[in-house]
Amino acid sequence: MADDEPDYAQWIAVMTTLLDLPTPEPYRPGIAANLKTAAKMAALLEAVELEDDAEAAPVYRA
Amino acid sequence: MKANSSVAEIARTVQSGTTSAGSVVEASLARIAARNGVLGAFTDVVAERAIARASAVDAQIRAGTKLPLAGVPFAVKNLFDLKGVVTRAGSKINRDNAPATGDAALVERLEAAGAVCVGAVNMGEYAYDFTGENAHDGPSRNPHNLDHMTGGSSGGSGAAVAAGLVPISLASDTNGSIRVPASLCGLFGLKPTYGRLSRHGAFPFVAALDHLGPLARSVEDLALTYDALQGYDERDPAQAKRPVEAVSARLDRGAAGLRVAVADGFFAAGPDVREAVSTVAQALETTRSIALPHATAARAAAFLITMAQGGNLHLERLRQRAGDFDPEVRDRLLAGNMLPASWVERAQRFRRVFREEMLRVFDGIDVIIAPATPMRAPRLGQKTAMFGGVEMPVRPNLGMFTQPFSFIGLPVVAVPLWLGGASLPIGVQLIAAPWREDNALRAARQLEKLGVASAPVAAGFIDD
Repeated sequence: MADDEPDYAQWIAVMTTLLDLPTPEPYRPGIAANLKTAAKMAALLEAVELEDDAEAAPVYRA
Repeated sequence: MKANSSVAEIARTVQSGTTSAGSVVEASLARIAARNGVLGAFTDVVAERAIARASAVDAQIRAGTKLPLAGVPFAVKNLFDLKGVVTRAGSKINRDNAPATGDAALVERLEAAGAVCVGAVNMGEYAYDFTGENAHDGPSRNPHNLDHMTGGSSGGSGAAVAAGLVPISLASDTNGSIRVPASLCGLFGLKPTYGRLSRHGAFPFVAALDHLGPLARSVEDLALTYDALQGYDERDPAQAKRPVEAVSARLDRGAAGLRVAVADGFFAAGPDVREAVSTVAQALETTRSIALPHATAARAAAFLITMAQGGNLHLERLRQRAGDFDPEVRDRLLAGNMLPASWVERAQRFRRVFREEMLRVFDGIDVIIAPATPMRAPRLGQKTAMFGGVEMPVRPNLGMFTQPFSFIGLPVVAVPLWLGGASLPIGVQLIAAPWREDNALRAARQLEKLGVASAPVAAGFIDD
């Protein structure tokens, strides 16, 4: 994870175009807040070292 | 039927002919009509269907058929298909859909066992919720204090069972949506192993994490219901080909021989939560604690997978009808569509690693004790609370202790505790190894027998 705070407004603008999403201005603070929370969660996950053979589990069996 | 009648009591008296399924169901419908207005529990009451079904059950009994759940009324979270009813899944958008053409698989199973569905209940929009507050149907209210949350997303299920409108409700649990309302409404809840029960006919949220299960007021009721729900169904591609492993007859073996430990580290919480956990540990005669590896990362990974899969599920609805979502759900789902693939892929890879780590923990332990929620029921509308000394949003954090376990599909029973002087309950999770629901239920039953855990009908709703 980069140390610098990303530009959430730019992130939202780019993804809005790429995915053809409706993100009028009133939605954007809420979206940005959720992206910030997700970034914190991703940082927690990045702290765990994964071996190369750690396989994804898209179809999961307990 | 009284408000506090149990599943076993109803089934026994209907089977014996002491009472009829028809009279039980009519009592439940009358109670719903009288009480639902203050609770916000039911969104769809199917009285005509229920009366017809009860009549059929009575005919089966007269013909000598044995039905383990004879005449037991039940509710379903409104993401379960009920033939002829629109499956709203807590949303405004889905109520424009056509009515369901059939029943969900678990509804079929309960009714095949003699139970009678009386309606569908309120839930957080598209199950992305831990509060029980629905932007379109209003909040479900906690029967133990109507100014407080039920928890969610299965909030209507919690309200309906805690108020004695029905003895059981079917619900779903992706990240904690059975266990959080169980904790806040003072109920027993079972989230079985991922793949144990068929999800056919239930509106999805996060396919990789979605589970279905029951809420009830006793462990016996939970087990009787769970036994009737089991069985392979090829219509759910994630369901495992497991035999039915009935647990009801094994409940009273007690907890002797079970190796029990308290989850430490991430699960250490405030004084009330600590007291609840230590009370359970003492009753189950353990002083052992264990730091679960990477629980914080497991919660984070569940959070990211939920955002991404949930967001993708609703992508087209977001494009077409964003203004019809609950704004809080909409913004989370929109953000979920914007996550880097690398984060989500890492979360999926970590899932396998965490599963292997936890399976090693279960080599030496049968049941892990952990808090179900970090606090008792917040007030309706409450946006933030103190979690570990830090003020954080209520909505995503009520499930912080449930997420690491559903993340890898472990079976969990939530048990309710009433600590001295408290007016609201708080729940504790009993977590077992995959496919060992029996161990978690045995421990729960032991706590119930000792009087440590109990799920009474809320005081204001006992009217008989």
